[in-house]
Amino acid sequence: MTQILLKLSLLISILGILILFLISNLIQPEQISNYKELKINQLVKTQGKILDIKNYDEFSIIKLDNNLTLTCNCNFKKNQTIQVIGKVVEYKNQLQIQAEKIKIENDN
Amino acid sequence: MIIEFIFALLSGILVGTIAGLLPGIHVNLISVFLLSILAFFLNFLQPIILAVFIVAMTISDTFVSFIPSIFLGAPDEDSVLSVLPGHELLLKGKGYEAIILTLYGSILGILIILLLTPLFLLLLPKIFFYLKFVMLFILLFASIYLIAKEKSSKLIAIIVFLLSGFLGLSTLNLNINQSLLPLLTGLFGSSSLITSIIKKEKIPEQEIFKLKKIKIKIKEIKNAGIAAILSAPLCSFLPALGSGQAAVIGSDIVQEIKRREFLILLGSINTIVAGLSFIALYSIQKARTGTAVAIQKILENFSFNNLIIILLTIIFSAIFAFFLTIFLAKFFSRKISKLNYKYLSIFILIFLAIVVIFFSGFLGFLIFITATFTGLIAILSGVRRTHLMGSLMLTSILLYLPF
Repeated sequence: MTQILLKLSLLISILGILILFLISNLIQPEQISNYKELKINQLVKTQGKILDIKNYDEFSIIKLDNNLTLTCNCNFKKNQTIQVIGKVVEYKNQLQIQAEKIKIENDN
Repeated sequence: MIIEFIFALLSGILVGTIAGLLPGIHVNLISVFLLSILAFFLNFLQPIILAVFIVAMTISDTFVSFIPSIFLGAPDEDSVLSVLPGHELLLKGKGYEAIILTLYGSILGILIILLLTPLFLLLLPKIFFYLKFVMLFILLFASIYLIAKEKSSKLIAIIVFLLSGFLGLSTLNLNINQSLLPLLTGLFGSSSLITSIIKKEKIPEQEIFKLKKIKIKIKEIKNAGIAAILSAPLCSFLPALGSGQAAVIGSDIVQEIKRREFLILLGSINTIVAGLSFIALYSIQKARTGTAVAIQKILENFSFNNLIIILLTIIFSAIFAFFLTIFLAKFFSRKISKLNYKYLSIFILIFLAIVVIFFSGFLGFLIFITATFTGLIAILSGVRRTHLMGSLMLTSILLYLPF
């Protein structure tokens, strides 16, 4: 009985993890273009030109030309155009994107 | 000001006690709710009074949360590991003693907080940057040592660790609300409850001793204290680490830690991680726990006077919570053996499933089911359930990798 339950548990556990892994890859970020579209905890995707960067010890705060602010552990320059995927978080009553993936689109 | 302070302290303890007793309701959740209506409260309360409420709630929760964990097998995310030794003692009629051991641990934790506060204030800003690099090696060592120490089957231990790790990774990638709730409730809570239902466990009459009759050896305090001092402070200020990881590291540091020592260790780690996270917030301006984030948002100018008030709140709420938890533990000890444990376990299992669906949605429920069966693998195969902490350890290791 214990052996059957053990095998069943192993099977359901592996299947569950595979399904969760597939779902996490299938969930597409929502394309947004301005601040008003942001919702907390939402996974979003946006593109824009870097207008301003503030570098701190552990992270940088980037302001894009579409008025969106993002935080990342990254090293970019002003005027680069980037594509960002990240989660919307709240900081000091302002919504901002916590970047998970960043791609340079245009390196001006 | 003093009347407001006392009111905030007592109401914080009351809310922390309720949160501690209700499985699945974590103080982080209440802090998030409080922040959403912060502007309303700031109309008539000073920020420090709200901070006192949150600190009192957090500290009392660390004392009380072992009651559902040990008596009902329904832990919250900070007390998950106490299900294991606590339930064993419950089945021997020593559930009350198990709670008292965690309480002594929590009081030990308060003393360690007071001892470490000056060090946190003086040294932490200087060494914080370097500690981040050391942490990767500590996590790797703790995980390998955990598996190497397995007496049953090392292969199954590795499988359980990796399955939990991949489950943890997939869960955190899903961006659902309260993602640790379904993950840890499933791995440690519901899997234990299902085992109790299958085994038709009966809870014997619980022995209630006078406090002075629950003897603790100096060696037990020393072992738990050393393990707590070496593991918990790191987890109060480094990202992606919490009480669970601290307990695994702590029990690895002190070899062959016994069941009683482990319960003392868990009590102290829980309180230290919660308490020192507020001190770290003042010292290095970094918030690593949900309630520390709430304090950061409430106290925009965190002054030294604020820190003194927070330290006083930690001490007062610990004293209140200590006696309140003893009272509640006695109440539960008298009632638990009179209840039909099988039906109680089924009821709690359904309650946990509803809480998971309410806070984390149906994706959360899928995580809960998967985590439950992953937890069952460890129980049925007889390997130590601490390997299930791979769910948090693997994610933390990946986060600390430099590439």
